[in-house]
This record gives sequence, structure tokens and C-alpha cells, in this order.
Amino acid sequence: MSDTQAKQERFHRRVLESKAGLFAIVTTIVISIGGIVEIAPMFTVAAGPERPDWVSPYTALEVAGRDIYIREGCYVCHSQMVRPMRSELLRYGEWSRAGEYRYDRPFLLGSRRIGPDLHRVGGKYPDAWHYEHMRDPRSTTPGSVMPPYPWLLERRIDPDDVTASVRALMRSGTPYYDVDLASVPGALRTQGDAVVARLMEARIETEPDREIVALIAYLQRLGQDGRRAIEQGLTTPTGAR
Amino acid sequence: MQYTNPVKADRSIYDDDVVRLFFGATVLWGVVGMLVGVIIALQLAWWPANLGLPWTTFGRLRPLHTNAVIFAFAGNICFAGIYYSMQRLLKTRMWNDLLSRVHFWGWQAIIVAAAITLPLGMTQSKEYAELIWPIDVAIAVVWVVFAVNFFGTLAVRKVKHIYVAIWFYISFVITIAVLHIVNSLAVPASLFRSYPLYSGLTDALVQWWYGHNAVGFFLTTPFLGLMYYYLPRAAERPVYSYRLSIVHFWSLVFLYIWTGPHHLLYSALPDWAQTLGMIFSIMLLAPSWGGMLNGLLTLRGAWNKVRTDPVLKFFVVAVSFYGMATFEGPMMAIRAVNGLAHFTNWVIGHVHSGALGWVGMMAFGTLYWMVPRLWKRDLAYPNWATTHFWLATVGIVLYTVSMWAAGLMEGLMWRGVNDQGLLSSPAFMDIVNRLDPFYWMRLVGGVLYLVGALMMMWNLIRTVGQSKAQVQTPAPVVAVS
Amino acid sequence: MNKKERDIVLGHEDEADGIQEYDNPLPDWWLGLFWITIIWGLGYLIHYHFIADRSPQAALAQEIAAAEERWPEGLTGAGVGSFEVTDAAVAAGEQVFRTNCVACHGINLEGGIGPNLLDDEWIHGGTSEDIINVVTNGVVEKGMLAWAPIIGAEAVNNVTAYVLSRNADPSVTAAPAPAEQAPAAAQVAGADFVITAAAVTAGEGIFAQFCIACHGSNLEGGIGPSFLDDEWIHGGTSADVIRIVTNGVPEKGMVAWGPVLGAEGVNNVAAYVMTKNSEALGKEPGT
Ligand code: HEC
Ligand code: HEC
Ligand code: HEC
Ligand code: HEM
Ligand code: HEM
Ligand SMILES: [Ca+2]
Ligand SMILES: [Ca+2]
Ligand SMILES: [Cu+2]
Repeated sequence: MSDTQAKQERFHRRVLESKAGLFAIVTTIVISIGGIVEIAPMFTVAAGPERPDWVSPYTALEVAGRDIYIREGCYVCHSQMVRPMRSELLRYGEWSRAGEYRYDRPFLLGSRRIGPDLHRVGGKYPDAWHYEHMRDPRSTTPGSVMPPYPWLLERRIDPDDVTASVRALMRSGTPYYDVDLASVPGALRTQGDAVVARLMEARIETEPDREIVALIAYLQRLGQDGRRAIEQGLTTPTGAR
Repeated sequence: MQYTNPVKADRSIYDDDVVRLFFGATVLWGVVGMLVGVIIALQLAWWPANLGLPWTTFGRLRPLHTNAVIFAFAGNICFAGIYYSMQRLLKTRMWNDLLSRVHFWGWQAIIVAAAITLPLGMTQSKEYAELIWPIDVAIAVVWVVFAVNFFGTLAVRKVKHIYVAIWFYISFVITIAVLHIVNSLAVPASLFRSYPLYSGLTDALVQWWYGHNAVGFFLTTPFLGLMYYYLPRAAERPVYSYRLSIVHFWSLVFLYIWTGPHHLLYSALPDWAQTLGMIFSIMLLAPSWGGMLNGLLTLRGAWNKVRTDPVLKFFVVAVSFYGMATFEGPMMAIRAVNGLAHFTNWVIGHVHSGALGWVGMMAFGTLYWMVPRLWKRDLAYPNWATTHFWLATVGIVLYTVSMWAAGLMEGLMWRGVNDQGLLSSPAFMDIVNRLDPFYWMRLVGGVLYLVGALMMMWNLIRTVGQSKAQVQTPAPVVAVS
Repeated sequence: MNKKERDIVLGHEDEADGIQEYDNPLPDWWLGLFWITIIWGLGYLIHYHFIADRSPQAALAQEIAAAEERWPEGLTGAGVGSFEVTDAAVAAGEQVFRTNCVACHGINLEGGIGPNLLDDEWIHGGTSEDIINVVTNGVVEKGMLAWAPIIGAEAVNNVTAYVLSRNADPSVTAAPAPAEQAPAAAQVAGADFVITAAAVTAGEGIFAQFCIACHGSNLEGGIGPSFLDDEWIHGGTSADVIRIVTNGVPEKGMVAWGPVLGAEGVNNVAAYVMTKNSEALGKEPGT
């Protein structure tokens, strides 16, 4: 073995292997480099993800729906990330722009597609379809492995809970400038009534404070801001489908 | 199980009681975690297994499976292995017995809290970091307790130079602390719900910087540490190359951190970050294989023992699966390959070759090796260990082969286009329905693996039961060569 | 590094609980592999970002351009011939309808989430051009998908032919599925119906998959009636049960399962229902 290698080994043994404290400090430095180089630029405009103004935060009812989406673990089987590939455009629609995720706290890109990607599901199905599908996925899609969620049709939303969520989102940085927390119950009501009216058209009777109504509001919002922005040319579309 | 010690408490007597506690927790939580794995595997093949209850649907049980097998099963075996080997390598008792127990009971309390909150739907949704913020705080506190005790022992060690296994243990203790604290920064909305400080793709990158290195520094570096202690002790052969251990340790620890973005390829994450994730994953191939080489080449001159000793059988297959998983990983990190494999069952095949192969079998080998040394007697059913080995090996092969096949088929059918330029399988359900045979095959593999673990559990219960009856004298101190 | 210098024990085992270490050199192939991956990685980074200025979006644009070149007329109109309602088109159209449209328009086009397609009121017009147009471009805001990019122009023609043929003669219930898909369902299994253990277990699987939603997981009923009592709206003999399961009660929402399950499937689920009913009533099955 060359003597330089022997010298290196003696150095490693003498300096690092005999001083556990120094070894720990050097390890801490070595494991911090990668993280800093990749994460710090995310907070800059130049190297970080797109921060446009064509997307707005979720409404109170949509926040309630998103909390339910997380609670039931929908992200475990569904991704929200249409990739820039032709087959994905054909199956799901325009690929997901960075800006669309701006107010997604926590992010829900998902890492498995046991079920289809949901990032462009907003507006794809009528509310009634979602109502029936969540009650029993096999009623609309025979053969589905998706579990039934009948309790969502019964359980009610607690306005105080939703207010707490909106307050925490504001504190963590989501710009709800115009929302004052006292208005949350009212906002839940008005948007809930709109969903209930649409369900009534398909002879489905429910009340605005059922959890299914909040979940439908969130599902119908998915991908809409991005779709509108692409149609208005605010982001660079990729050309005809 | 305190034993009175006639000789004045000589600091050199090791604290093996806490090792036995972690040992028992490993066996218990390992079986629980794998049982939940079998249940969710059944749920994918046959939806009624969701039982129609909120607490048993796939969406809530899957995170319970991952948290149980990683933090409860893998976590406890790492602690058992570290507490046992570290004291002997340093010829020093753990710095503080109380801190050792606070670490043990604190960690088991965290596991029980997870087993309660996850089925209730209390989750932060970030993979391997799902536990709600009060538990995150508890994890940080218990981890600091572990770190203080760990570095305290190093400070009062009777041996000047620290052996390579302890390098890996140090990287484990430090990196998990950094990853956990940075990824858990959140604003509470209530006792059970919070929102992360980061949002959108920044949140995604911080999560997968944490996520990959959770499997990196929770399922790899501590287990490499165990390999460097238990494999040479079981084989009674010198480690192949001191030089290789220096080079592969520092390169692995440095490169691993950069690879997080390979979980976000083709996402809207800035492209430069995706490229870094990809090329550093490729560079990680050699350092990972360095660990495999130092393990397998240490067995030169001991291959005849492998035929007779189940512990060495487990270690050989474990290190080989480590080599396979760390070859497959860098390949999957290449954009072109990831475009096909991402989101599919192929990833699950890669996961479980690393998890069942490397992590599981290193754990089983370590447990079986420690039994005679912790309880002063051999296994109640010695040849069950070999049966367990074959059940586990066949189980892993069935699991990974079925997932590779399913993943490849899914990936191809999702992107398939017919001669009119349209999707050849537009209906997503046509693809899902074709997965059933593979889901059933995986389930068989998983059940075999679970049966092996159950046999181990029963074997160890009988062994420990009998040893209590016979052994009253204190455990001899001399290091059993 | 000659043979002599290999397998030399370093002698630090007293500081490693007796574990000895050689200090063999790094295998050449391993070191080479490591350098290759480092050099390749840096090369890839420089080429990708600085020389070729690649990006997923650029690759997608190329992919789309190549597709448009290969299929110039775009995805929807794959050379649509003149439209006419032929038996072949109707048969093919029924398959398209069954896989894509039943969820909202019902197995017998009676409607549900989507409108009834058997009556004469058409929101978007009842001519073949109107229907082809609405099925091709959809009514996105109402939930009716634009189906052409999904199923292609030819399938749109076929399903339109099917809708028109059923609309022209609404009395025809779901035409028996073409032979290869499932045996003729309308033929009622009479004498040869026998309750075997295999039939009951197979029937249980079918029941779990298709019937629980309305008849309850232990047959206690829900939207559909219970099978644990002795009252039968349409008669309690096995022949009655088989007839109802095969042809359904469309106006009440009970689906005609014949075309979906096939005669054997209907027999099996009927065997299951009859066995559970007899058990509930404490009498011998099959009476
Ligand atoms: C065990 C896996 C699984 C879980 C958990 C799951 N899904 Fe699904 N989901 C599927 C499958 C498979 C499909 C495709 C078949 C179908 O339409 O039911 C699907 C389809 C869907 C669709 C229709 C998508 C489309 O474009 O056709 C929506 C919307 C949906 N799921 C929402 C949800 C919500 C909301 C939750 C949680 C409350 C959820 N899913 C939980 C597996 C799952
Ligand atoms: C997700 C639900 C859904 C699915 C699936 C669906 N439709 Fe529709 N369909 C609707 C709705 C809702 C309308 C009513 C649109 C309106 O009110 O303008 C509609 C309208 C129509 C109309 C126009 C009827 C009229 O009164 O003008 C036709 C024809 C039609 N659908 C055929 C089809 C065909 C063929 C398929 C399958 C290839 C299909 N639909 C699948 C929901 C659906
Ligand atoms: C979408 C709801 C729905 C589904 C799914 C369903 N049923 Fe029904 N079923 C009904 C309704 C509603 C009735 C009552 C019809 C009536 O009142 O005449 C009924 C009636 C029946 C009857 C006649 C009972 C009597 O009192 O005469 C039988 C037998 C039956 N169903 C069996 C089945 C089987 C077998 C399946 C699955 C293969 C099934 N059903 C699936 C809704 C359903
Ligand atoms: C004993 C039999 C086991 C079975 C049957 C099993 C089954 C499963 C199933 C069905 C999933 C979900 C896959 C999907 O989403 O499609 C899963 C995920 C996972 N399992 Fe297991 N598992 C077993 C053991 C283990 C062990 C021992 C470990 C680790 C030590 C492990 C680690 C994981 C991880 C990390 C995931 C998440 C992977 C991802 O998110 O992509 N599993 N397992
Ligand atoms: C050189 C080492 C490795 C590299 C480069 C690597 C690479 C990858 C890549 C690219 C994926 C993402 C697949 C996708 O979602 O598209 C992945 C997923 C995963 N790998 Fe590895 N891998 C390595 C070693 C390991 C080992 C040894 C284990 C386990 C012991 C492991 C556990 C996992 C898990 C659990 C996931 C799933 C993450 C999730 O989506 O939840 N990896 N790995
Ligand atoms: Ca995952
Ligand atoms: Ca957490
Ligand atoms: Cu990774």
C-alpha cells in the first residue's frame, strides 16, 4: 500500500477515531451540505418553484374537505401530480404547474397511484357522482378496490374546528387577508348550500354541514386554478392535446 | 429480571437488561407491523377486507404498517444491537442506566401513541413523519435522551479508538435528529392537527430530503453498523478492509443526503434539483456496494460455516439484498426509468427487497446471534431458525417478483398508446383489475414471511421461559470471543 | 499491491471487542465504478443544463409534435366515415355504453346522474349529429365528459348508433349481451338449478361484490328488500329469485344482473340467497 494511503489511515485513526466529539462534529457538517444546497434555494425567487398570483388559497369549506382527505388517507392511493408526458395529458389533462401547489399545506403530491391521479379531477364529475362514489365506489365503478366511506355522508363538520384550521394556516403563512375568522361559519354555509343545491338536482338530499359536502367542495376545486390560468395563457401551455 | 451481583458494582459489567427489553420489543412490534402489512396487502386484493369501519380502511392502516415496521421493528433492533455492541466495543457500561430506561419506555410509549392516533385518522400525511405534532415533540425529547446517553458513554469510554460500527451509529444518532426536527416544524391548529411551516414544492422537497434519508439513516447506516459488529463476530473472521470502511463510510454519509429529489422526478420541482437527486443517486451506487463488499468478503474462509449456521445464512442474504436494493435504487433514480416506475408497484418491490431482505434479515440474524449471549442457553427449537430463514427467503422472492411484474405492467399500460394515437387502456379500472393475481402472489409471500417471524417469536418465548428457570447466577462478564 | 501484502491483520482487535480487521486495498473495479459514476454524473449535469438545455417541458413539446405529425387529423376525427346505424355498430356501441356510460345513464338508459336517453326530450338535440357532438365534446360543466379523446371517434359513432337504436324502440330491455361476453341471460335456469356448496361460496363472492350496496352485508336489506324474512315481492321460489336477479326491476332500481353476471353467476348468487334465507327461517334449503 502506498505510503500516502498509510499516512491517510494513520491521520483518520489518530485524529478522528480517537476523538468522538470531533468525529460527531465532522459528521454533522458532512450531512448538512446536501440539505442546505438543495433546500435553501427553494426560498429564493430565481431558483425556487413558481410563485404566481393566478392561484388563491382554499376556501374554508375546501380546507375542511382537505382535512378530511388527509384524515382518511386518500393521498395513500391517489397522487396529485400530472407529469409532463403526452400519455398523462391524454389521461388526466394539463401537467401540474409548480404555482398550483403554492397554498398546499401540507403538499399532497402522493407517491403511489393505486387509484387515478386527482390533480385535474375538479369539474370532471358532477357532485352527485362523487356522493354516490364515496358512499360506495362500486356503485359508479364496478370492480374498484377503493374502500367505501359511508360515514362521510353522516358525520358533520365542526365550524370551530375549521376556524382553528384557517387560523393555523394564516399563522403558517397562507395569505387569508380578506378572511376574518368570524366569517368562517357563514362561508361554510354558503358554499355548502351551493353543493347541496347541485345534489338536489340529481335527487340526492343532504345538509350543507355533512363532511361529504366539504370533501366534494375540495375535490371539485382540484386543478381548477391551473386549468383557468392555462386557458387564459397565464402559464405556458404545451400546445394542442 | 434483576440479578443481585455479589461483586461491588464494577462499572465494567454491561447493562444487558435494557438490551433484553429492546430485544423483546423488536420481536413484538416486528410481528405486529408485518401482520398489518399482510392485512393491507389483503385489502388491495379484496376490498371487503376494509371491514367498512373508518379505523380499518387502507388509507389509515397503511401508515400504521410503515410506522410500525420502521420505527418500532427496525428502531428497536437498532437500539438493542447498539446498546449490546457499543458497551462491548468500548468496554464501558452505558453512561446512565436511568437514561437507558427512559429511552426504552419513552420509545415504546411513542409506538403505542402511534398505534392509537393513526387508525383514528390523526396524521400529518408526510410519509414516515405522519405522527401528529405532540408525538413529534416526544420523539425529539426521547431522541435527545438517547443521544446524551450515547455520547456520554463515548466520553467515558475505556477504549481510545472507535471501531467502524460506532461511526455508523454516530451518523444514525445525529442525522435522524436533524432530519426529524427540520421536517416536523409546524403550526398547531389543535392538539391533533397542525400545518407545516413550508408549503407546496418546498414542503415536498423538505419531506423527501427527510423521507429518503429516513430510509437512508434509519434503515441503512445503523444496520451497516450492526453488520460491522455482528457479521465478523458470527463468522469469526477479520473484516475485509479497514481502508474500504473509511472510504465508503464518508462517501455514503455525504452523498445520501443529496438524493431526496429522486422521489420527485417529473414533478414541478425545479429541474436543477431533480438532476442533483438523480446524479447523486448514481454516485451512491459504489459507496453502497462498498458496504456489501466489506460484508461478503469478510466471509472468505467461513463459507462452510454459512451452511450450518442460520445466523450467517441470514446475514449473507441480508447483505446480498442490500446490494440488490442499492443497485435497483440508482437505476430507478434515472429520469427515463423513473418515468416508467414512479407511482407503480415496482417501487413497492424495491422497498421490500430493502425492507424484508436487508432490514428484516439483518434483524433476524442479530436476534438469533444474541440469544445464547443474553440468556446463557441455546434456542428452544434450534432448527426452527433455519426453517424461518427459508420461509423468509421464499417470501421475499415471491413479494419482489410479483411487485416487479405488476409495476412493469402498470407503468406500460398507463402510458400505452394505440395506432390511432389514443390511450390503449383509457379506463383506469381495466389496469387495476389486472393486478389481482400479483396482489394475491404478494400476499402469499408476505404470509410466509410473517409465519417465519411468528415461529421466531414462539421459539424465543420458549427459550427465554426456560432460561429463567435454570439461570440464577449473574451473567459472566468475560467477553465471549 | 502484491499478494504478500494482502490479509495483514491490523492488530486493533483489543479496541473492537476482539474483531480483527485486514487492511486490504480497495478493489480496482469498485474504485473504477466509483470514479465512472462521479465523472458521468458531472458530465450529465453539464450536458443537460448547460449544453443541451434540456427540460421535461421541451421533451414533452417534442413528443406532442411527433404525435401531431403521425396523426395529422388530430385525435378525435380518425377519418370518420358516413354515420349509419348498423347491427355491428349497435353491438359494438353497447359494449362502449356498458363500460363507460352505465354509471350515469343506467344499464337500460333510464338515466340517473345523466339524463334518460330513451325519451324524446333532448337537451342538446336528438339527431345523430347532435348526439355525436355531445358525446364527442361532452358538457364538461355538467359532468358529461368529452369522450372522443378517450374512446376515439369510431367508438363515439358506435355508441351513438346504440343510443339511437334503443331510443327508437325503448321497449327492448338490455339486449342480451353478445355471446362471447356472457351466455344468454334471458334463458331462465329452471329444472337444472341445484344448490351446491361450490355454488353457494361462489354466490357469496358475487353478493359481496354487487349486492351488498343495496341488500346489506348480511342480507338485512337497505335500498333493496331483506332476504331474511318470508315476504317476497316477486315470489320466494328459486325460479322467482333467478328471474328477478336476471331481469331486475328497472323502475325500482334493481339492476338486471343477467347480462352482467351471466346465467351461472345468477344461479350461484340465487343459491347463496336461498341458502341464507332458509337458514334465517330455520327450514331446509332448496324448498
Ligand atoms: C385503497 C385505495 C384507495 C383509497 C384509500 C381511496 N381511493 Fe379513490 N380510487 C381508488 C381506485 C382503485 C379508483 C378507480 C376506480 C373508481 O373510480 O372507484 C379510485 C377513484 C377515485 C375517484 C375517481 C377518479 C377518476 O378520475 O375517475 C375519486 C374522485 C376518488 N377515488 C377519491 C377518493 C377520496 C376522496 C378518497 C379518500 C376519502 C379515496 N379516493 C381513497 C382507490 C382508492
Ligand atoms: C359522469 C357522468 C356521465 C357519464 C359517465 C356519461 N354521461 Fe352522458 N350526460 C351526463 C350529464 C350530466 C348529461 C346532461 C348534460 C346537460 O344537462 O346538458 C349528459 C348528457 C348526455 C347526452 C345528451 C342528452 C340530451 O338530453 O341531450 C348524451 C347523448 C349522452 N350524455 C351520452 C353519453 C354516452 C354515450 C356516454 C358514454 C360514452 C355518457 N353519456 C357518459 C353525464 C354522464
Ligand atoms: C342499486 C340497488 C340494488 C342492487 C345493486 C341490487 N339490488 Fe336487488 N333489489 C333492489 C330493489 C330496490 C329491489 C326491490 C324491487 C321491488 O320492490 O320490486 C330489489 C329486489 C331484489 C329481489 C326480489 C326480492 C323480493 O322481495 O322479491 C332479489 C332476489 C334481489 N333484489 C337480488 C339481488 C342480487 C342477487 C343482487 C346482486 C347480484 C342485487 N339484488 C343487487 C335493489 C338492488
Ligand atoms: C411481512 C410482510 C409484509 C407485507 C405483506 C407488507 C405489505 C405492504 C403493503 C401491501 C404495502 C403498501 C403497498 C402499496 O401502497 O401498494 C407496504 C408498504 C410498505 N412497507 Fe411493507 N409489508 C411487509 C413487511 C414490511 C417490513 C418488514 C418493512 C420494513 C422493515 C416494510 C416496509 C414498508 C414500507 C416502507 C412501505 C411504504 C412503501 C411506499 O410508501 O412506497 N414492510 N407493505
Ligand atoms: C443507493 C441506494 C438507494 C437509492 C439510490 C434508492 C432510490 C430510490 C428511488 C429512486 C425511489 C423512488 C421510486 C419512486 O417513487 O419513483 C426509492 C423509493 C424507496 N426506497 Fe430506495 N433507494 C436506495 C436504497 C434503499 C434501501 C436500502 C431501502 C430500504 C431499506 C430503500 C427504501 C425505499 C423506500 C421505503 C422507498 C419508497 C418511498 C416512498 O415513496 O414512500 N431504498 N428509492
Ligand atoms: Ca410512498
Ligand atoms: Ca410528524
Ligand atoms: Cu429515496
